[in-house]
Amino acid sequence: MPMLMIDPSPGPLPPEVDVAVPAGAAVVLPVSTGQLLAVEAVEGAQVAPLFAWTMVDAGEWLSPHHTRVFGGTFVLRMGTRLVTNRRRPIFVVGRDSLRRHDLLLPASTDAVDAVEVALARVGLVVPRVPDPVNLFMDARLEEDGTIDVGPSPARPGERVTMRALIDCQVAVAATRAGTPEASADPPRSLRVIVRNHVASLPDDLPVLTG
Amino acid sequence: MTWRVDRVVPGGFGASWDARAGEFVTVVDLEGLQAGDFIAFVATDPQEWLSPIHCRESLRSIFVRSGDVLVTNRRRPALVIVRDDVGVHDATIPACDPTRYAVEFGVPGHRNCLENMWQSVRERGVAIERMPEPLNLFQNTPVVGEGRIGLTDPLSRPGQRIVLQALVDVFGSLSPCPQDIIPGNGLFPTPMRVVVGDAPFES
Repeated sequence: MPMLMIDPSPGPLPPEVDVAVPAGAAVVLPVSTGQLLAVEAVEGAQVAPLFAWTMVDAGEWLSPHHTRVFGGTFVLRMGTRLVTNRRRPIFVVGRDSLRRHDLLLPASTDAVDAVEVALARVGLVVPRVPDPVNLFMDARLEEDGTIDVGPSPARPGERVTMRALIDCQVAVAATRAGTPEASADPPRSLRVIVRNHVASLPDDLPVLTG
Repeated sequence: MTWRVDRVVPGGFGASWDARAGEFVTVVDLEGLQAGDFIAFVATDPQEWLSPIHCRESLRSIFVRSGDVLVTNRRRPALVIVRDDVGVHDATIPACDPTRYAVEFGVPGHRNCLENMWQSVRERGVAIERMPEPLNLFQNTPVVGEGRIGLTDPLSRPGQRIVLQALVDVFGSLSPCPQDIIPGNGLFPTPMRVVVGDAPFES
């Protein structure tokens, strides 16, 4: 396992993956416990809805709703533990050059359809395409509860990297967002990178300020 | 006036209700300080449900108010809020479930809204994996500095109510939340009343 364990497990490290998500489509890929999952807005300005189901039980999935309660926050930050609908941490945000994501809004119909196509392609049956974590989505929450949605500020090469804590199947869609204000039109491609060591990831962009 | 549905739901338990298009669903917080998890399904297809996340998208807000049209996971109108005595409800917190108590508080076996609601609608063909997120009536979940979730008690006083009018035939469930560990129900779950008929329930 690619984490610093007292008793390192013998055997090879899990496979590393580098997958392009074509504009308008979604991909599904396995990620192992301890691996680093990076999602990159290759061309910028593209929201990346993230979905995941645990490998042993597709009835347990990444849940933005349970993530908010678990962390006591409406907002995804560095160090936030993303949890499943059974309140178990599945990812932790460890590197993030944008620091602007969404835990409140739904996937578009396009995204759900693309994920269903990608799931069918790998023969994965799930009880539900759950609500996503919308990486790179600019949806600012005001104290009066208003959600101000704007275009994704992701720059070309913007990347968010998470440590995976549960073996899982991950889906990422490069489609229109549910809200027109947040959508790149037409949609732009994304890239998903899975690595065992942080040193084998490309450098991040400088953290976006302002 | 005779009411087609009139149920007092004990604090910490759940009960089903149903409403035809045009009927009014009145939920009364009988003793005050009580949050009620509320879900609704389209009667002709329980794969379509009242969806707080899609309401947040269409309303561009995490809060709901009198006059707001509440939509389904297919972005279609399902219910409209026609009266609201309190004005503070929650549309972001998932139902408490076995793991809420077992994992986050170390208390397995606690009563919970997810199972309360599911047990009351499962005979209509709803799988537990297809249970929607709830609208939490009277639950008070303010945004406090820097996007943190404030957990505090409802503002509802005894007898205050919310009335929703069904825009399509729906059925659903109400669970006066059993949470008695953290603020949310005044640390003591109390009963609520759900009434359905051709007019808002007055008394």
